[in-house]
Amino acid sequence: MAIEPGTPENLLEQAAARRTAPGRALARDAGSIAAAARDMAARFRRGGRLVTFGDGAAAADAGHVAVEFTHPVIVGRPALPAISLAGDAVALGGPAGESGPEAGFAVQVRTFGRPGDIALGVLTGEDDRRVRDGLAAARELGMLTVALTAAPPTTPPGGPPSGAVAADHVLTAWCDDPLVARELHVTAYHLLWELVHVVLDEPEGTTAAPAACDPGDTCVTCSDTAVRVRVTELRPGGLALVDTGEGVEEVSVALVEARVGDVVLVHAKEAIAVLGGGDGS
Amino acid sequence: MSTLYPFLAPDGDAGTDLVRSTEAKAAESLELRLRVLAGFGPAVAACAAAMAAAFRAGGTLFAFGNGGSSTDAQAVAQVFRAPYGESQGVPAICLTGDAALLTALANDVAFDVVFARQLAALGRPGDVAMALSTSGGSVNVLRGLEQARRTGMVTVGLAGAGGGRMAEERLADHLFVVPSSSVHRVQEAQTTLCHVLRELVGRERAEA
Repeated sequence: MAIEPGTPENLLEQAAARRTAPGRALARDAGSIAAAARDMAARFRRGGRLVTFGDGAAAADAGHVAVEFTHPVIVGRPALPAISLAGDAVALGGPAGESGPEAGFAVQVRTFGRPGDIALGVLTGEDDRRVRDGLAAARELGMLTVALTAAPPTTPPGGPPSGAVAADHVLTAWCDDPLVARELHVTAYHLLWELVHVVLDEPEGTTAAPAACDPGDTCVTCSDTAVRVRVTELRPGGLALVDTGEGVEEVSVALVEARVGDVVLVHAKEAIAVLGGGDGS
Repeated sequence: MSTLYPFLAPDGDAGTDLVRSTEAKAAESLELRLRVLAGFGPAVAACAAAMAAAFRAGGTLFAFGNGGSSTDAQAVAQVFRAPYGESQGVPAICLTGDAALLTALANDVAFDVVFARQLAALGRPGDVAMALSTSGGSVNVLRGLEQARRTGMVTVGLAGAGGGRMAEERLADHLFVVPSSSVHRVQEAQTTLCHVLRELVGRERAEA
């Protein structure tokens, strides 16, 4: 988008004006965002993982989404499994922008993804081949696919000339400025994170706790807050049984020197510190 | 969940309420963006002018932050590197992209120095340091700004809530504290601020 000549004040006013209509359009799409979040929450409930990807600045957004889910900003929200495929240039292989069987996101999706997982691709509207290929590979696997896209507000109902994105949920930033579109993607994925947690909190018959999590127990996998537990039994493979006060769970003690009777601090099912021993230490 | 969605009525239609509250949050996000642009107008223009002058003199942009702000810093670097409209990109790099450097510094020295050490090695007087934080209190980010200032760089700081120590100690020449206590809304408004800086820098460079 060409920037009109003018004073900084005029430019700032124009910057604000260019954001108003697309921002309102995002609010109008609240129903689509909520529908995507519902389906994502259903996958998380059944042990699914979130796999994110994007190119250019959207690669950073893919990383942002993943960290939102794995390390929630709100203390006490459960950590949900998510990983960005865009953060490792080595794993992407091949020249940047290359797609095909040997490079890009599709090959990572095929090797890492499982049918119950979720794929979230962030498309900038420019060269999106690798992201589209990644979403297509995810669909073939049976993953839930979510696409954040951008399109001019004048896009005809038949979709943009570049072709519609094949995904279960397509959330579109309605604007032709790539920077404004990116801002709306940031808002959209923040909302998705919040909504997934709202939905996961809803009591409903279909609620199934994540794998290896007994409902009713203090689940040390799902808690984002590190909790104190007492080691009751050491097991092979760096594992241990611990008493949470409300039940017994298995955690990893591979990172610490823990003995039976020790109180350890556990975060996301991993003991991260020994607080004191049962032997009076 | 009432902290996230206070207007979810216990007996209401959860589906409808979910959509309505999502709509309200999206509207709040836009409102904060517009309020920040209006409130920081002159400061944004001054910051863009200082950055454009730095780039004209051959300066490089270094962006950094933790967690979601680290990916936002990556995006800032990419947005400044890439052409926008008719304006060319400028030299820009993010200090969180290199896992070898980050883990070496964190393991061998301390996490507090991961940005300061890189800036001490890479930064030159006249470069630009852009620090992204939602709390304004992350020690490694603040030490990065301190190092950048010692080096003679233009320092830009983005924070949220009250601005933390970044604001209390005026650790950045150009400081933008987004008035919200929501980490998400802060990051959203910061993204807009960074993008508008990119737009204005492009304009300034085109005129130079």
